Amino acid sequence: MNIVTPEIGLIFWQVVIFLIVVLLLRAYAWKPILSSLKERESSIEGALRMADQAKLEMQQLQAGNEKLLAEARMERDRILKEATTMSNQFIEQAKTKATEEGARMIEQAREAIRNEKNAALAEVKNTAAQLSIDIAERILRRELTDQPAQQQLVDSYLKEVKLN
Amino acid sequence: MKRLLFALFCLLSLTARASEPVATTADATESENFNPGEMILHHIGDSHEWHWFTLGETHVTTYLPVIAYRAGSGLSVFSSHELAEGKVHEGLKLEHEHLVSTDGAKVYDFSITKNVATLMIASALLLIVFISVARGYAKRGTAAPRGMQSFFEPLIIFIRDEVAKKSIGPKYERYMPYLLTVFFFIWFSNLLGLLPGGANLTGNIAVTLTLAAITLLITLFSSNKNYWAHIFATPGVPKPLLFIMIPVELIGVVVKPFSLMVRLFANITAGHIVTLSFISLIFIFRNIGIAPISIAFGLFIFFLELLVAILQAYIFTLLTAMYIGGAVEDHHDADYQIGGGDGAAPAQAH
Amino acid sequence: MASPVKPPDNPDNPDNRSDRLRTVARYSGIGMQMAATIGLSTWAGYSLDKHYQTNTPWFTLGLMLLGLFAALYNVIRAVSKGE
Repeated sequence: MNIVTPEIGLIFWQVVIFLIVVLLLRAYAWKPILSSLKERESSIEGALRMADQAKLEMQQLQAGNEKLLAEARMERDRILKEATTMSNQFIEQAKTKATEEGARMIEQAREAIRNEKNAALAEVKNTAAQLSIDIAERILRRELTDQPAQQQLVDSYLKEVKLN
Repeated sequence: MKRLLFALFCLLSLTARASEPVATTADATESENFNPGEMILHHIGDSHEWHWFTLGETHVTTYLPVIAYRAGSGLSVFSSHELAEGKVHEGLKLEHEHLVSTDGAKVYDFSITKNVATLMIASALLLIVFISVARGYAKRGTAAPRGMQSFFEPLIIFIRDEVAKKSIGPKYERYMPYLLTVFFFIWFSNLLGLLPGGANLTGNIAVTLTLAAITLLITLFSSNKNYWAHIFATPGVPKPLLFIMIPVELIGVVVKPFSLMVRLFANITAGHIVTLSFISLIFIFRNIGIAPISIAFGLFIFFLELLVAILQAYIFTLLTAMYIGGAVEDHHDADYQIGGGDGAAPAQAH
Repeated sequence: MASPVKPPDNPDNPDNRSDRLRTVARYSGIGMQMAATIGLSTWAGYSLDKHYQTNTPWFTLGLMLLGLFAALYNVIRAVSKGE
């Protein structure tokens, strides 16, 4: 048998058997295998895509949470700050009020003291005047009897008055 | 491997009887003179009986059916045992493994030869393996592959992604059944040829011729307008030169599958010849001392052949896919080079 | 075409390895085709000469030259088209 001369019998069997094998495998092997592979790949791809999406959502959720947290923190800070300011204001106000009250009371006391002093002075003056009148009366009564003495007395008074 | 086992049996008989063993039935008559050329040709050729091995004087042979058709006497079917050792049966006899009629009539030999039997075994193996793989997919659905399924799945995906998709493009799906079948058929047949006693199926020109012819037919039937336009009006070639370009392009169409046929045939046959030659060295030198070296080289070639088995299957499939790809691609040249006469009205073109 | 999980630009990437294998197979195909073109056309010329029993092997010569030209042309086209 020449090895480079194709034999008609083998060609015949090769064509028949090979075509049968191709057709059988196409129907019972390649089609189901390839479609299963495709299905699996698309399901894996779908799963991957879903995982990616879930990750993205998670990230978004996390970001949202963080944003909320930050907002809450900011709110807290703001409230704290406000409260501090308010309390400071209160303290300041109270202090001012207390100082004012104190000043007012001191002023009142001063006023009262001044009034009392004035009243006392007026009384002293009145008393002094009364006394002077009394003295003058008595002296006048006595002097009306003694002329020189009277003169002397007036002079001494006048001197005193000048000294004042 | 069949050569290795064969050599081993020969070695056994050598040590036991210290005489030259007979290599094949053909050599039986001339047992005194070992003829490596004839032995090798016999092993890479086809035969009507399946000769497994020779142990001393005993030949272990399976006789296959002979189916012959002659215009005059019609169909004759009988066992090749009737033709063994030059016997004549129903006016037919074997001359150098070639079936001839004693009355000189033309014989159409459709016998189940060793190669046809191997072809059937390879086909049965393909069907069993891949239908059971497909059953695995049906059973497990989209779950991870298991067993045989996980062994063949990467190869199937490789053929689909790296061979078909890259060479053919978006229309690849139509050609997948042929590409996968041809790849696994060639690979399985190559491996069967490496088994001890196996036939040289893919190293037979009739087999590679058939496969290449199917590739050519698929290419021609799936070819589009651009493919033919490229052959009969090669873009960028002046009209007067076309009378030489058309034959050149037509030669190209035929040569592509022809080179596929020759490559597979030559590679597989060469591998078998090289392995057999190393084994033959033992008998040529008539020396047991040469056996370890010759077996070592034979083993080395055998492992090389294992690699060649899948490589040749891949190359055949890849080049088939490329030829199909060339026939179905929408050639870009077509847009601006073919039918240059329309150039006067480019505004209407788009 | 590659699935999204495949890492890009990895030297061990099956994509690159298979591309290399692919290129080798392609060029071996081109060489084989060149040899086959010349061989086939020469054989055709030879058988034509034998059939017509020509005195001078014009068919062999002519077809061999045509085959040579076709081989060169196909190689140049295949290589220049690139990947």
